[in-house]
Amino acid sequence: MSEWRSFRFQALLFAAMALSAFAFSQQSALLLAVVVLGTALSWTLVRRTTTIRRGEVTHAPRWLAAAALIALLFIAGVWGYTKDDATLLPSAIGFSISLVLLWRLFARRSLSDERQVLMLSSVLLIVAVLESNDLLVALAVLSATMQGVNCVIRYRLAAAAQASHITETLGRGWFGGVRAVVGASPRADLTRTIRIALGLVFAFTLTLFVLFPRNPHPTGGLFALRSGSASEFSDHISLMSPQRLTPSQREMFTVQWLGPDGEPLVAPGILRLRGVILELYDVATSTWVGRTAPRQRFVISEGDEFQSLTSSQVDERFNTFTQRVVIRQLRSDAIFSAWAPISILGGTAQVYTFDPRTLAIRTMDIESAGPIVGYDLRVQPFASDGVLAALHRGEPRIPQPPTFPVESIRDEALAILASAGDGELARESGADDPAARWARNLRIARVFESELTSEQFRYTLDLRKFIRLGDRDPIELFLKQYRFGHCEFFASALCALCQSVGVDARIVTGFLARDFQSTAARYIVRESDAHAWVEIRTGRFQWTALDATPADNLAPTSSDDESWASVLRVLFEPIERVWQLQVAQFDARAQNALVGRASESLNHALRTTWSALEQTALRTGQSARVGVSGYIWFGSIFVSLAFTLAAALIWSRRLNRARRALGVGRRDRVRARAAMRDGAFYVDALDLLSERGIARPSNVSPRAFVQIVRGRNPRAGEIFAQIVERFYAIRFGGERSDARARAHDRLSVGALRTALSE
Amino acid sequence: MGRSVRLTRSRHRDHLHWPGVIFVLLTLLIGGAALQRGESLLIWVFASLLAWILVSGVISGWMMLGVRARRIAPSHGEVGRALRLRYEVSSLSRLWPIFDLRIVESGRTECEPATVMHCGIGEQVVAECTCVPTGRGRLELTAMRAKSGFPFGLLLKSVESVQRDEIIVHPTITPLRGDALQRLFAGRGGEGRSASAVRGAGEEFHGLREFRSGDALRAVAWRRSASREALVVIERSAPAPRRLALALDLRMTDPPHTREQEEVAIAMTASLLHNGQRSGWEVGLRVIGVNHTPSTMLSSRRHLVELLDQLALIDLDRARTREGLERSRSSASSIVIHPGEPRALAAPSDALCIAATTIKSLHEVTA
Repeated sequence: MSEWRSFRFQALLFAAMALSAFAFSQQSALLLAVVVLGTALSWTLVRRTTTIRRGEVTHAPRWLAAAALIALLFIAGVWGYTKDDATLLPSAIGFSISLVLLWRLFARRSLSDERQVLMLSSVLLIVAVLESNDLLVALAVLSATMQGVNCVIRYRLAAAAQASHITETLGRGWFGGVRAVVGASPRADLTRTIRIALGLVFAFTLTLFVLFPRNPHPTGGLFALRSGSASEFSDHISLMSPQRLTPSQREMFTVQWLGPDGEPLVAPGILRLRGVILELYDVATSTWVGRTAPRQRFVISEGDEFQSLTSSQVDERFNTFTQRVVIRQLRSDAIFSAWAPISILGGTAQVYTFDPRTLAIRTMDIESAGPIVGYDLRVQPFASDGVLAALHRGEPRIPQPPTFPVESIRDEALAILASAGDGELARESGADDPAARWARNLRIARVFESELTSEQFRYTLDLRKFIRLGDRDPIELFLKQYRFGHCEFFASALCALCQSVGVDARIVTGFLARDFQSTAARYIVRESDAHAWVEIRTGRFQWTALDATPADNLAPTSSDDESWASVLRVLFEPIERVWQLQVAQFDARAQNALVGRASESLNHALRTTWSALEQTALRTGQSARVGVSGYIWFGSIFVSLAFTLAAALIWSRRLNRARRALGVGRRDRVRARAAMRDGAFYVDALDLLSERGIARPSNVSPRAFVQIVRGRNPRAGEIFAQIVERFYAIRFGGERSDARARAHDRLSVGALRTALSE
Repeated sequence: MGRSVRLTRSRHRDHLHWPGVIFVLLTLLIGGAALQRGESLLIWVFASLLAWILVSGVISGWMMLGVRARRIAPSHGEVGRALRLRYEVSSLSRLWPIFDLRIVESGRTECEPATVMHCGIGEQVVAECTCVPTGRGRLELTAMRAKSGFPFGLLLKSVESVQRDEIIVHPTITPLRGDALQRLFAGRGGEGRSASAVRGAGEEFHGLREFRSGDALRAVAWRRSASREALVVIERSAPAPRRLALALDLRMTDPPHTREQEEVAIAMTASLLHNGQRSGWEVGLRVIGVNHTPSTMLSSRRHLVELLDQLALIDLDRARTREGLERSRSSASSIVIHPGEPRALAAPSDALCIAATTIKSLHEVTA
């Protein structure tokens, strides 16, 4: 394969990697199939030209390229029609680039086309990286960054060949037009250079990746997750700056729902995984925050035993399920648990805090303890009052009915209740009778839930038209003015309405596990599954989940919707875990830990070495007992050795120079010694001239150098001419020197020194 | 080889160019995104882009450190005809071979770059480029710059080597018809023929000598042999080459000739000299009006080159004289070439005065 054809193939590989990376980022089997087929077709089914001249290379017929473009545009049109979502701009850009790139692959005729292919592929890679950081994308991107080195180097040579008109021989190679005096293989040199460049790029990349400054405390809200900008989970909800959110398919973690017998099951309905409980609304910042929990308990998870969260033994034979969470890309100190957790088993040694009032679990110090890689929870979805009492460790004080700080919300709540014919419920307080209070709570909450899930309210992620008007509260605007928003607004509205009429309500943020993958018998929880809903107090310990978000947006995903990537994932699960934990989640903490480990290892090694040296010196001193004269003796030996070593180095250097000057190979030791003996005067003369600022350029012959020396110092030039003639006689005339001749040669060098000093 | 070869110092420089600037801007953008998003894959891509810049600098730096170039320039050139410059490029680096190296002459836009696609470690290759001189005179080459953007084309590095070479660019030599001089002298007689002083195969009498075995009987001088009672033969003189004395009239005139006319006259003189030498004439040159020493008449190639050198080095900016043109003492055919209209009165009567534009009628007919 000629260099030109090899370059075209490498460029095709690069483009295929970029296209594959984008297909992986979109998890689109159709696009991947088109990519694979397209790249293969572009290489194999196009017209073959055997004699390739400048500007004419293997390419597709025009009709085939045009047909391919039309077909690809048709596919893109169908895809765009089926994806009725204006928020997919990056994907749309990526798809457009993919189509153009595929078309270019079918119409590569000149070097300019190849350059376009390389540039389009690079842009597509960046789009893929911005879209996803899954393992397959990562593998494709990592391969492509290395392949890019190969391609760009070859492109540079192709461009140089074209510029120097060597392209006349492009069909045969780029190096044909250059005459080498002595012939190293250009191809071998090119391959070696590419390999070294690859090694250097990889080493530099790895170093820079490890050293890249990372933010140790990244911030992000619940829905900041959805915009794909962070993988942390926020502990508050802010309604201050509505914006357009993009649902991200980034996989946060997986959940297995195991029955009492340990077999994986499909949970009935949607599995709500509670993360953070928010009860208080701050009007000034329009933010829901959690209540400071004074009754936190600490649970240390070590070993293989579940650590109980209850104060007493709970019967786990019935109604107890195991929720197994394996973290993929989520980084949060919140433990996401279904109602109601009774014990926990961490994947690594962790300290958890448990809030008995909300049953929320968190890790203590995620920065120092490291990221959570997974955990198991035993939960009882229908926990009895006894179990909940054990979790609370006693009878909780029943709080006063809550109030909501925005007055206008109460008016809206009363109007809703009145319109539903339940106006009298607002006047009841139920403070004296807890049972009546719990019933009232649920009844009122149902009315509000029914109102919010009606067609008057619309679910959307695009909140750019949700403009703040004066000082009006966002919840009031949502209820009275705009009536559209996402789950945070629906949950906020429901909770606000409930609290405004004295109903015990709180917002729960977490994830919905609704995408069950039958292949692996587990749920995949994505960023887009982040959700907020409301819990209403329906008993002394009991809370009931209500969701005001329209149900259309909460439908579980059928197992038929499993992507090919999910199926494939079963095969490379261990690799993906390594990728996620060691690379994708390589953050400031991991960076610090790595630096700490390296520093510690280095210190340890230095200390060990120093200690060993100390011990050796001590033992030597003790055993030798040499005294002062002994030290002088050893010192003399050391100095002698140092001088010998220096002399050997100087001798070796001179020998090598003489070898090179006289053209003697390294293996011919006899000739090398003779060369050193007979030709040393020439090396000395060159050294002498070099010291006086007349160094011989390596591409100047000795006789030509004589002219240069003559130009600088005529007298020295004459003497050096004699030395060179003598050198020529030895080098090319096969003359041997006896002791007298060598003495004469040394005298010539001395005369040269004198002449140079004049 | 050009005159006055001198190898002195070399200077390394880095150059910015658009692909590199765009790449750096793109890297900064990706770096900003990586800082903001903190995603490992994005950071890897950013680190990779930075690594490209670093590796580009490292490899091209090491490569260029070992580059040595020496120009092998011809001694003469001709206006309008491609001059072939050769460069002896050596790779002294022990680590990197040379790839994609371009050598350009500093300050000489008329010279194309020479490209070295590959030069192995410790090897030496020769690269060539062409340079088309646009005017006669001395073409001075002072320094050459070896540039390379290898491996990624992000950073351009160069090494400038100072090597002074001087190439004498001859005037344009227009190919003339083989019988151009005969045509010029047609009807005037005396094409500069004469007998030489050496024996040869000519027709003129040279002398007598004794008959030797092998002499042709036709050469025997029978009468003289009879009187001497021994056979003697007649020796003939060798025919002397025809001689052409060209005079280029650059004297001051009123109105003065234009520079273009004078250049055409110089080019025509060069063409006639070339044509005469090629046709076996002994040629001589005299330039009237400038300080010029008349040359001897010889027919060798070396003599022609010397005459062309003299034409190449005529400085038209120097002061002119109004000196007269003496009659040629040698038995040569004389032609006086005038930049403008011929001025017969200002030339010897036996000289052929022609205008420079006459050369058009003598062009070689090409199929």
